Amino acid sequence: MTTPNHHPAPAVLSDYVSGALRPAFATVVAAHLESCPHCRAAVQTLEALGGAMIEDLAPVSLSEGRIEQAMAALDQAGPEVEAHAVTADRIPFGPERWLAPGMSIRKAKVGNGEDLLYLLRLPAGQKTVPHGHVGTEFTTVLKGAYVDGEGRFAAGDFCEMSNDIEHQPHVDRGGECLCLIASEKPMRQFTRLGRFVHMITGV
Amino acid sequence: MIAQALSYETVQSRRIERQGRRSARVILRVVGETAVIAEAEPVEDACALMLRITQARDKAAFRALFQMLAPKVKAYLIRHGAPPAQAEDLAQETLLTVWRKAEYFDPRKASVAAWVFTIARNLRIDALRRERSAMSYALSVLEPDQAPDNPEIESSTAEREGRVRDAMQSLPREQLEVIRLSFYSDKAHAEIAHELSLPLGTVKSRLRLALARLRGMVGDLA
Ligand SMILES: [Zn+2]
Repeated sequence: MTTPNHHPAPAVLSDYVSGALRPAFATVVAAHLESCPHCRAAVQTLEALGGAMIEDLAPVSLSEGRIEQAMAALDQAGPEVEAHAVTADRIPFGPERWLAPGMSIRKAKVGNGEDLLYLLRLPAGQKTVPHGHVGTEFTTVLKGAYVDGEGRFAAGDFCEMSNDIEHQPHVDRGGECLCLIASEKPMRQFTRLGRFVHMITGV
Repeated sequence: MIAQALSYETVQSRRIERQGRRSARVILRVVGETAVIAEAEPVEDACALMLRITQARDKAAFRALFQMLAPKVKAYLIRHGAPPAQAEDLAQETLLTVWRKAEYFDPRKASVAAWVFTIARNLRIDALRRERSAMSYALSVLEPDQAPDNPEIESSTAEREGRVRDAMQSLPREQLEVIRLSFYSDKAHAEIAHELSLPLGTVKSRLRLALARLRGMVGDLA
């Protein structure tokens, strides 16, 4: 598998590592990291920086007895911490809702639902009409590819769109395209899926 | 160019200074059997303690690591707005996770401090938002591995930690300011731009330059 060509900005990776990204957006970045050794290395460097930043802080003593409490807990089993990756197949997606032939959407609930996270399936050769975005939107392509004014986005590629940017993606003829997308709510077009279809296909 | 050469020299001299300190510490430890200067140099480095934990489940090593890092983790959590009692609970939980998940620690990929940072951050996010988040990714990439028993790893990790620190200290003040706000608060870069009354592009470019410099000086860790 080739490595991706389109990456999150360093500022986005820094937000990811510091923990400032909200869950839906962090999930889309994580999906990119799964296929991008370049950004994984950047994340490791930023985590090393995070470690140095912690070490640089003036220590704040814990109350007396804390350490004995911790020592006593060493032989007890801890809470089962899940340490598995958030991958596209492990995100709790809802049912697939068909929007048009070959075109579907599956929404996922992450966090407290303040943002929208969804899988968008577009059929091979699908043309879209120019459309803008409400707030920030992150996309990682999971399968297939599309082309827009910024270039070709294939599996693993990451795209950040914001308010004022319009684009007109065009899915490759070779096969369908599956994208994992996070966007800020509220998005009026999602209250009625028909409007969403209209927005991207013009039909 | 001159400025770059100068700062490189400063960094080199810092590195030599630190190496000097480290060997002084070793000498102290040898002499220290007499207990005369027992309190002069407190501790083994975190990596050595961590190896004792992974290899021998050494509780004394855990106690030392707890004393070294839990107060720093507590400070970090307080910076992020956790009330002191919660900061203490989470700091304790962070160190207990180090003990329980010790087999996930891979000194070739991360320093102890970096690993502890990711654990503290994940616990903070889970606790403050009371939800699972994608940040668990960070734990997952560290596959449990065969026990690292190579003494060279220890020195290379310590050296790498030093390089991270040198790189951090060599960052221009305005880049460091943005980095500090990123790691010591809950703010994303857009909010940082707002707080500093800077254009978003300026904050983004500072972070980009800082990361490029760090990667240039530290090298990729993988
Ligand atoms: Zn990347």
